[in-house]
Amino acid sequence: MSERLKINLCGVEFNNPVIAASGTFGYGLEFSRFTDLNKIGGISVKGISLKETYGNKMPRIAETASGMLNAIGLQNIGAEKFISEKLPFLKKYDTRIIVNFWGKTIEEYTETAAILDKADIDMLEMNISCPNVKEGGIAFSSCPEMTEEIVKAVRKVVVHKPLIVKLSPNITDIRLFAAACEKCGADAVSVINTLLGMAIDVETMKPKIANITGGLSGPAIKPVAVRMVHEVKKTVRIPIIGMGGIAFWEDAAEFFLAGASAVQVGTANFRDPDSCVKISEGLDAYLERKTINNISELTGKAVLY
Amino acid sequence: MNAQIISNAPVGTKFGYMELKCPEIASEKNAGRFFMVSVRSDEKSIDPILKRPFAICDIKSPDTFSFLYMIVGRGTSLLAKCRQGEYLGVTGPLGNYFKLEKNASVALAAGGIGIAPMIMTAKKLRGQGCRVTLFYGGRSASDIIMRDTLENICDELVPVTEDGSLGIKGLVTAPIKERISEFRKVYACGPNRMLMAVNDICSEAGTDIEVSLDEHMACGVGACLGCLVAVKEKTGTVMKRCCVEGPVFNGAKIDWPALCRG
Ligand SMILES: Cc1cc2nc3c(=O)[nH]c(=O)nc-3n(C[C@H](O)[C@H](O)[C@H](O)COP(=O)(O)OP(=O)(O)OC[C@H]3O[C@@H](n4cnc5c(N)ncnc54)[C@H](O)[C@@H]3O)c2cc1C
Ligand SMILES: Cc1cc2nc3c(=O)[nH]c(=O)nc-3n(C[C@H](O)[C@H](O)[C@H](O)COP(=O)(O)O)c2cc1C
Ligand code: FES
Repeated sequence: MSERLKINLCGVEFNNPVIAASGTFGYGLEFSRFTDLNKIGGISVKGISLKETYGNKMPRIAETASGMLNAIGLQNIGAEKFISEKLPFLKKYDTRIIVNFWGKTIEEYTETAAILDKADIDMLEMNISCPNVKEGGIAFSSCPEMTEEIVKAVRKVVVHKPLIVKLSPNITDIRLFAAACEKCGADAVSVINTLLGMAIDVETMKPKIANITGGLSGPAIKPVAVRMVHEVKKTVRIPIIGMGGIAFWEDAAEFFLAGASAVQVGTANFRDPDSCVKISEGLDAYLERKTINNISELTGKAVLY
Repeated sequence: MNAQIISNAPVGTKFGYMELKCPEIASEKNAGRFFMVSVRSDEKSIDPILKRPFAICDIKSPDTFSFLYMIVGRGTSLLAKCRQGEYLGVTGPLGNYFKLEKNASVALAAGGIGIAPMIMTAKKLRGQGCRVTLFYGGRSASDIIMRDTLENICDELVPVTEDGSLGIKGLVTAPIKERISEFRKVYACGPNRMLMAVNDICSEAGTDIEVSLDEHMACGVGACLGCLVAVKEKTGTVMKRCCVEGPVFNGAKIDWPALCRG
């Protein structure tokens, strides 16, 4: 493993800065037959909640131009079962374990976070793009005040592990949300979650997914994501994990230049299960060619006009 | 993982047959499994972003296997343009497989492109001493493809066309219903409504049935949870991943009305 790719993210040592994105890599084991998990810097597992959740009606996915829509509905096996049934398998690999989690109320978030804080994992990643059932279903990510409230509450119970907050792009100014996270004690931000979208089958005249709308991911969203990483970098000092449409090392390099300290790769894993490994190798060759000693020196180095 | 195209030839106007070099998939011993394949050889292509799932149709050598595809949209049209010698990304073998009977009379029921997994299945069943009757339905004679191959791999081929241009006229379910008592088990693949009708015949006759289902897939390996099928268990309905716990299911356990939605 190349020294050039080693990073320290919020006190956690990563062999390389390429992480598999939540919801696209299951609990890790699903892809183990088709790629070497030891060569992936970290794995962010499918969003975990307090109780097992069954998710949305079918169909849940639809392909779009250079991307896809999904409305899985955050199906998962629940925090306790994840820890007892899935975590032991992941621990066998030399990769950092990030547990993505969510809730429908502040209490659900804090209870889940408290359980995960004590588990044998490396980091927590909080998905705030979920409707708050006590506030009429408005997402925790929809206004900076609600984001502040949830980050503050969860920060109180996450005392052993770094806390990453994953930001939604479905807002007008992402800088306000990044600032709210930093102010309330988040250790890092993940930028971005999926963009809300919709597609209709013109023959059947029905939306292509049963939930009607879904999250757009894949190369189609990359320019939006790079722009948001750039904006967040100019606003906060905490590290940024950049994602949205990364398929090749060149895409990842763009995110570092825009201000990311690490990257996540989602939809591209479906295209090629070896995507994360190939991206690391490509980044390493790029750093060597540019005579850059460590990937961290690339962060935010885009030369502006 | 990349696989080299050994051959890619049209079959009639609506279908194609491709042979790929890939020892990892060609070493598969069970029938009914599938794989995912990219539809363009350009390594940097991001459109379409997803691979497509196809049944493993036949295994030709320790290194090569083939699949049969129906041209229905953009991905399969692009697949038809791929050339011999090019490389395609593949993931597999994936999913579960048919549980094959030994020394019994069994029926295979295929509707349209549902014929794809039946070639390897028929060969394996015959290898285990089964008598294989293949019911193969389509709209008209041009939908009933690879007849020469099929004649050779089963004991009896029963073509059925809706317009009567080949074989029995009508739906494939009619001759199956008539003859269901001859078979210990039915293996079926085709449109959901046909599978539901075949399942009804089997449940009435008390005959075992395994069906191979088709859901839209993104990952094919159980990670994205995009391909779920409602299955009835003792504890109630549970959602199973078509790509891991399927594509083969016990027909008696499928929640058919939910599957045939829309
Ligand atoms: C386990 C499994 C095995 C399969 N085996 C075969 C096979 O051996 N041969 C074969 O020809 N096809 C098979 N299919 C179906 C095949 O994957 C689809 O026809 C193909 O993905 C369509 O791609 P496209 O880009 O041409 O179509 P698109 O442009 O994506 O869509 C064209 C039309 O096909 C429909 N469609 C797209 N994907 C699917 C799908 N997965 N299932 C049903 N309808 C779909 C769309 O809704 C649309 O109406 C299998 C599917 C599964 C899940
Ligand atoms: C099928 C699917 C499921 C996802 N599930 C989650 C999830 O559970 N939690 C979460 O925070 N993000 C989830 N995401 C969002 C991704 O982690 C990522 O932020 C987004 O897809 C953008 O990256 P990409 O373009 O590389 O896929 C999901 C994405 C997809 C495609
Ligand atoms: S296709 Fe992703 S879980 Fe089945």
